[in-house]
Amino acid sequence: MQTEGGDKIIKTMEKVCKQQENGDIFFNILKKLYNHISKHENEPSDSRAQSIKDIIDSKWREGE
Amino acid sequence: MKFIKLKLKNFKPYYDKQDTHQEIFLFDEERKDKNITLNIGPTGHGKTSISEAILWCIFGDIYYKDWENFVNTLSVEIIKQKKENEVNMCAELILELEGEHYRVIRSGSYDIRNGQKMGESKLSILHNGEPINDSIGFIGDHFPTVTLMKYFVFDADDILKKFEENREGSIKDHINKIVGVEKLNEMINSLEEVMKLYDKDSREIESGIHGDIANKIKTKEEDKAKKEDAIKQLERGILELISEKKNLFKASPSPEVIKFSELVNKRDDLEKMTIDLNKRFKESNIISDMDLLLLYVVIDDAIKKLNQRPTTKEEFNFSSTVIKSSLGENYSGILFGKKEDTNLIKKGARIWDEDLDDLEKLDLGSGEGIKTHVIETFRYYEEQANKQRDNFGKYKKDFDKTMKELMKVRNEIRQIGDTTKNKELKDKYEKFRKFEKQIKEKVNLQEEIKEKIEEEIEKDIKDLRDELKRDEEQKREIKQIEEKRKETQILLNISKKTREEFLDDLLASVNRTASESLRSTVKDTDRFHSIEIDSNYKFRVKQKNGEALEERQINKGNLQISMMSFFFGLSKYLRKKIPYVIDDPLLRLDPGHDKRLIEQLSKTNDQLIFHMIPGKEYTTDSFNWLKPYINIQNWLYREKYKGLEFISYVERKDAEKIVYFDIDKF
Repeated sequence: MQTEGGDKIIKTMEKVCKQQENGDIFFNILKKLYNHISKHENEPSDSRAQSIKDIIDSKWREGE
Repeated sequence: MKFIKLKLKNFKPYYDKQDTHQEIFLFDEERKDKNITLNIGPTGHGKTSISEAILWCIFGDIYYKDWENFVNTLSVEIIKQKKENEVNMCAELILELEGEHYRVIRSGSYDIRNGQKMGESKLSILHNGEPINDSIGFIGDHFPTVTLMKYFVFDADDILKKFEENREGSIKDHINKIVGVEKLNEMINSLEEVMKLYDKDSREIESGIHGDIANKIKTKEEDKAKKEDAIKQLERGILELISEKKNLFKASPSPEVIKFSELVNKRDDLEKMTIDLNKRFKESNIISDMDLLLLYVVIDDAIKKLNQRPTTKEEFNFSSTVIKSSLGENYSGILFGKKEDTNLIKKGARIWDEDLDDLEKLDLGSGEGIKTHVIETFRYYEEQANKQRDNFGKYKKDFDKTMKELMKVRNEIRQIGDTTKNKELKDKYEKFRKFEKQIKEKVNLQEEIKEKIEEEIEKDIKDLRDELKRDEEQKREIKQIEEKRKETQILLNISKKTREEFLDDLLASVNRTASESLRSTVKDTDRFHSIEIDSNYKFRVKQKNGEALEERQINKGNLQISMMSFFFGLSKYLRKKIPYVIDDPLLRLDPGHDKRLIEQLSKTNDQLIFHMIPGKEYTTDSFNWLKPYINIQNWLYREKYKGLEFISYVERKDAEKIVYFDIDKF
């Protein structure tokens, strides 16, 4: 379950992304990463970094 | 959401004698306007076990993976006595959600033989008696995560204790956890790790790049071009030679020309051979040793004759003359042995110089030593002479054969006609053959170069190109990684900026909520007007005029109220309204403050399940001000079952009436 705070973070993130070129793309990736971390709170940090990298890589492949 | 009833079987101290569930009523729907449930009992009577049962029921193994420790010890003993192996533990929470009832059932089995749980716990949720399909999804939709659940099910005494021990750290921890900043922090840390992973990937790929392959290929290609030029040059040379060959003979030379040329060449070879043989004959010692050879033959014959018949004076004189002339410069005499052996005496030989007189006087039958020496000397020369004779024979044979062949060839040449024309044709044919030889050499060289190009240079170039391709692919890969790294850097920057901006907004919001909570709890709202937590998580209480109170100006009770206000303020950040289950809610609060805090919390209409200690939190006074809000009043007791273990049980009491107790009887 997402928290109200979590929603606010996503909103702030969206606001910050809008100030950035290609902000929509970055926002989509970040949202996905944030949700991943929220859903896998017990994941060890090294495997989490790898799964975050996998998400970024998969986004990259989608964009290719 | 309301927790209506909790049913426990073999969970911690809750063992049911009738092998049914222990029922704990948590909310009476007939008294909906009242939202506080009291579970009263001293320490060790099963209050905290109720909180643990609720959490295990909802989250199972995620909440506590070693839940076999929750299995009631008495039930294990009883099962052992029954000679059975398995204990079943169960917690069932009946809850109300938007007017509907749900039964959340968690169960697990324990194997008493090995003291291990039998697999993971099982969850089922019933709605109107029917199991719902996605029970895990139901939990995910209606409850926060296990971590955040501690803002609903907690020990107030413990929370306040931690606040007092490390205020800033505790505030930071709570804020970060409850509002999701902790996740943002984890995301930032992970992105920083990802940057390192990309760097590592780049380094690994870079170490596999060979570099400068393009130059190597260029050198090889230049070498190939040079060799191809050489082939072309050879080709031109071959064509020129073919053309010159054609100038000599339009077609091929006739068989007569070829035969004539061969014969002439053969003749020349044979003549050369005879010259060589002569030369070798002269150079050898055959001529100089021939005298010796002849002498030996003559003497040998002479001796044989002398032994066969009487010799006349003429014969002897003739022989003497022959011998004398034959001995020449090298030998001074002949030694005749008794046994028809003859020996030449070399001139100047030691035997002759020193022992001649003695020798003359000697009976030739005696003086064996001297005789042997003389014989040996002769044998040596005899041997040499034999060798020379053999050599001479061989030379003679070769020479005769060559000469015979030469004569034959000369004869054949004469028959064809040793004319000028034939000689010219022969010269042309020789040139023709020379050209053919040169052509063959050039063709062979061409083949050799072609082979080198194909088998070495082109293979090398292919290998280098493959390497270059791999290098280029790897360079592209590195470039891609660099771009991904750049993007990750942007993601990281955005995340950090988000955290910065969010924290400002968040703190403003938390401060506002906590301040409202504070003002509704304390009496002197001008003095205790607002709570301010700054970006360093520093906690301050401010007066109405905006001035912050000094630490010493806030008494412990007010500080506790302020902190609890902050704590309850935080839980508003969680989306769902679920019941609070709080251990020792009033234990640390000063009288007066506890009443105001409860009054303030009751206004939210959230269900509040309080585990309270009689005599400390539950008193005549607190019951009186709690009474208007009490929905259910439970009392927790324990007893020793059959002299084995203490078990707890819960009795529901009249919510409107105070329960008098003797603390010593617990």
